Amino acid sequence: MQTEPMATISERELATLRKRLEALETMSELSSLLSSAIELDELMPLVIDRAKQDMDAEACSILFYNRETNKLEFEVAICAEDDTCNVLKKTISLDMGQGIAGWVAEQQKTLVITDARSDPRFFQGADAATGFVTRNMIAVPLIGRSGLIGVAEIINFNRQDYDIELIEQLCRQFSISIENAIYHRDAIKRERLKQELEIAATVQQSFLPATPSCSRNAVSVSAFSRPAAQVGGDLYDFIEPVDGMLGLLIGDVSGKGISAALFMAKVISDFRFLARGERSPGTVLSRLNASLTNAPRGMFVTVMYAVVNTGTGGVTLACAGHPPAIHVAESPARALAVPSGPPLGIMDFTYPDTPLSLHPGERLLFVTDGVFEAKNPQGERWGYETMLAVIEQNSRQPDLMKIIVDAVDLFAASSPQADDITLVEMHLHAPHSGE
Amino acid sequence: MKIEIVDYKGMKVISPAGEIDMHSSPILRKEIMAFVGQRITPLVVDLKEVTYIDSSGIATFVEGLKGAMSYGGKLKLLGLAPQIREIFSFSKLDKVFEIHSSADDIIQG
Amino acid sequence: MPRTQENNRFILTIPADARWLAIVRAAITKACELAAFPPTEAGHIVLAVDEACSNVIKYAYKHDPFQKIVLTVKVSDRRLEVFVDDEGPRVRLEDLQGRSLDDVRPGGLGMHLIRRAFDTVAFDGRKRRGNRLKLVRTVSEEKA
Repeated sequence: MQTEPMATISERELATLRKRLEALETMSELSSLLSSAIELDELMPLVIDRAKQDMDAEACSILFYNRETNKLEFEVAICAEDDTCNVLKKTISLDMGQGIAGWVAEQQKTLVITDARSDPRFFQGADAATGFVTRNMIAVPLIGRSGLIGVAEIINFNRQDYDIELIEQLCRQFSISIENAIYHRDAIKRERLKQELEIAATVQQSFLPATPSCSRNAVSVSAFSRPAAQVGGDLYDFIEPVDGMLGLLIGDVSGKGISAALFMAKVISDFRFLARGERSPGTVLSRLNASLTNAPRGMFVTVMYAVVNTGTGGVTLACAGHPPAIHVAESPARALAVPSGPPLGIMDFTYPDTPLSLHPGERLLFVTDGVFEAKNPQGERWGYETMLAVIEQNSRQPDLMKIIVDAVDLFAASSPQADDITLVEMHLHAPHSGE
Repeated sequence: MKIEIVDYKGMKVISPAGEIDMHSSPILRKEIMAFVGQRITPLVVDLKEVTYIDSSGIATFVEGLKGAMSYGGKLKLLGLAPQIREIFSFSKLDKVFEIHSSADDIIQG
Repeated sequence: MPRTQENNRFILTIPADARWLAIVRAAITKACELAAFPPTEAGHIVLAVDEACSNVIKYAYKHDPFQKIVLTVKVSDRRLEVFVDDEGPRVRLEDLQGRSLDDVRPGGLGMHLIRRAFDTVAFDGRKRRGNRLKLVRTVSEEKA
């Protein structure tokens, strides 16, 4: 015997139930999607495509709210025609309050438009640009913990038995996922940047000489370098290009950060390769320039390269836009007028050699502009002339470089160091002076 | 851009006027390289009538300098407006060219 | 769809010939005025766009004056976006951060001047044919 049902369900009730069930399925599917997808770029198209299918819609899109410009911009658009999406993503943004999405963003309320063309909030602009015809749409604000994120739109949907509360609930969940994804993306970006800076600093350090001083016969060279930020653009190097010669390079790469550090590494490695066996610093700079002129990102470097005969003290200099070296002799200390070519990396050039005699007891001092461009809290520059005066007063001090750095620090006082500071000294010792 | 060669107290000065860009720099280049060909030193360019310069203009001066250096000559620039001078200092070229405020500076110097 | 087509941009198409650069500079100068850039920043931006076009003429078109350059300029309050489009062979600038040491490209001063003027300097990889250089600058807060 067949049991009568306890309660009868009408066709209509059954349809409502089915609809609820389907919606719940959609929701649970989307929910698992939302909690699993962390990459924003993966998440958005998945959700939007699912929504488009579910609503049997012609197009779906998400506009992101740009806090900086106070505008809504298309982040994702899925339409039948790729071209329509491209037009939307490239050329269209909306002011707050403008159009339906603008209204939804401003009021932070869901809007269902059944006849777009008769709605006064609807503007024809996007349709005109894309050739798309909008009949109806649902626009839901995406609101996260930190406020408005954007607006989701379902356009030209054919399904009429939708549940607006459910859509809103999904959008709330969607908002949180987007917020998480953005946070995650930014955290990854920060971490990556931090790692890169660390790598660049390591690269840079590994390219500088292991010890900041070196002696051959009567000549000794030593360096002091202090970067301003974690990664700076100053460089120096010591090399023995041929027996009985010592080469000293100082330079300042334009720009800061990772690309400057990598460019600096390229400068030093190319320099070491090109300087081997070559007595003429001008020739080395001309070749180095040729290898750097096609260098990445329009970077350039000012350098001075000096080659000294460790027996005779004869020095040959070549300069590429670098500040003048200082000859520290009896008196006065003076800036050397060395003909200079342009910084390396700008254009083809033949750098001339300038000869010079260093007498026993004399020094040549090379600096980067961070030394004399140092500023005090009042914004005044220390200046090349002031530096010359300090050198003049201390020309016999063995620790001249330290005295200069102390003077810079005293002048700069509480001001943060804006640029790298590098000094390199070449000293021809007096015979038996015991220096 | 227009270019005149001005005789200032016996010193020949190249005086361009207007904007130096990729279109006009070849004209300037021709004048400068003509001076280089005559091994003139100092090679003086007065920029007081120049309102704009781009990297092709800068490159033209670097080329002139390169030519002048080949015979031990010098290239001197005069009368740079602040926005022109700024490009030279940004490119670290202010120390490479001799930059003077007036032609009299060069004659006295 | 309830949106307006943007009304804050203009498009300038010039033959790829250096004699038209003066037109580009005049247009960008006025765009900088409209976007309320202070004169120094505006000067840097005008120079940088000139350099970008010069690069296209030199490197993408190899001085073929029968090609064209399309500049799309979006002017907003205190913000300027410039897109420089060409139909030349692809220029690769894989990444702005510049990680490759051996990445060889026409270097020098022009690119340096472009980087000084703009916060964003990037080639749009989605463009299928030719190159699209995207340049974005916002007025510096400290100077404003």
